[in-house]
Amino acid sequence: MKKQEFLDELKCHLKVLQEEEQEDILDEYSQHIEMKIANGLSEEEAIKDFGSIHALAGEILEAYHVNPEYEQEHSKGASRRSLFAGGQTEEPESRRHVGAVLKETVACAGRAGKKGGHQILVWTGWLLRLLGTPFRKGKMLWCRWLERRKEIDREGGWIETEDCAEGPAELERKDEALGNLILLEDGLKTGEKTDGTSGRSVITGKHQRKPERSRAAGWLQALGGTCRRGSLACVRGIRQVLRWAAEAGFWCCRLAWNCCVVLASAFSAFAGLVFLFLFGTMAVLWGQGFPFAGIVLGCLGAVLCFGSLAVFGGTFFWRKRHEQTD
Amino acid sequence: MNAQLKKGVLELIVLESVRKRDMYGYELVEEVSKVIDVNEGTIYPLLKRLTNEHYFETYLRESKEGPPRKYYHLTAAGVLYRDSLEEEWMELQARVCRFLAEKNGGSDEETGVFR
Repeated sequence: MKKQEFLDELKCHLKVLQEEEQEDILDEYSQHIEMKIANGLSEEEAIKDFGSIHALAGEILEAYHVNPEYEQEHSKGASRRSLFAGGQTEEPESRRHVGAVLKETVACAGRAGKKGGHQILVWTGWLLRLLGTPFRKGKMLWCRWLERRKEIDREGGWIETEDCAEGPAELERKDEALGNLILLEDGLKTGEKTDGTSGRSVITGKHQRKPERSRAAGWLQALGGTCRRGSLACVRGIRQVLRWAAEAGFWCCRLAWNCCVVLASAFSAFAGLVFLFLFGTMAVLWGQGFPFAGIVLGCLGAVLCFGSLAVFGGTFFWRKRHEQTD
Repeated sequence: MNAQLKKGVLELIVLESVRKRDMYGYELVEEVSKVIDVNEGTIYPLLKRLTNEHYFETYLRESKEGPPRKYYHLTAAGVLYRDSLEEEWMELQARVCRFLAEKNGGSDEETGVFR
């Protein structure tokens, strides 16, 4: 038997050990064989001094507190061959490990998806409500404006204000009165008398006014009222625009903050799922004897941490305060 | 020599060999072979077990003749373990010799030098 054959067969028997340990042992035997060859022995002679490979592997496994008979005892009746039969098993160990890992991964993903689905629906609802806020606000303002216009139309196209209570009908009456005064003055000048049947009132001397002066005063008064109303409307419009701008700024800040919260929660959820996957994989490997206890605990901590951030991220939402009305 | 007897004392011989000075595997096999005829393959598993039980420490040292060699060094726990093995061996040897002497009823010449 050649050196490489010996080492390959020995490695086949020691496959239950960790890769590093296998390499360490094989290096030592390889070095021992090389030294014996350097001392004048052939490869076959050097290897022959080790005796049976099965017995040698058994002693090495005992040094690691591994029962070399375990595999042989548990493989009775099974289709795969034993460890000491010197061959490969029909179902490789690695394939079973991969299958177990995949099965565990799928199960973990299913559980995480079932739990996370409800949370995702809740978040989607919040997001849609948040994005729909400006549309609702615009619709409300539009309805309010339409109602206002209807009210204006009902009042004859005139809005009564505190400063100016005079409507167009009253102004018309004033104009009519002014016209009568003019006619009366003209009649007095021409010597005509007026009576009550003509539909025009008879005005005594104490109520007489100069017609040019009264008309100019009326126009000035109307112009002043119009200016006052215009300035008030401008002030009110500017105030309304400023209020809308403040609300828009406030809404943008709230949207930016809530987007950050959503993104942070989504990242936490994703990281939690990744660590959950790692946790499942490492737990399976740990259960199979690999020294992954620390990694498993670390993954568990990360899963809890990120999961908590993802679940409780919604508490950081900046919601609009609804004023309570009595 | 009986393999079981050799196996029993092999640990003590290895510990005693390394107690004097640090040795690498092949050197240790040659040292043990001076005392008892032993299968070379059995030394390495024993060294590995004693290392796993923290009676030995290992380190690599460069060699002019080839790749770095792994040297074995006896730890304090190994020294204590070696002392306890020696005591047990001395006691066992004395008891066995005494027993053989009593059974044979003979003299020291018949039972050998053990007493």
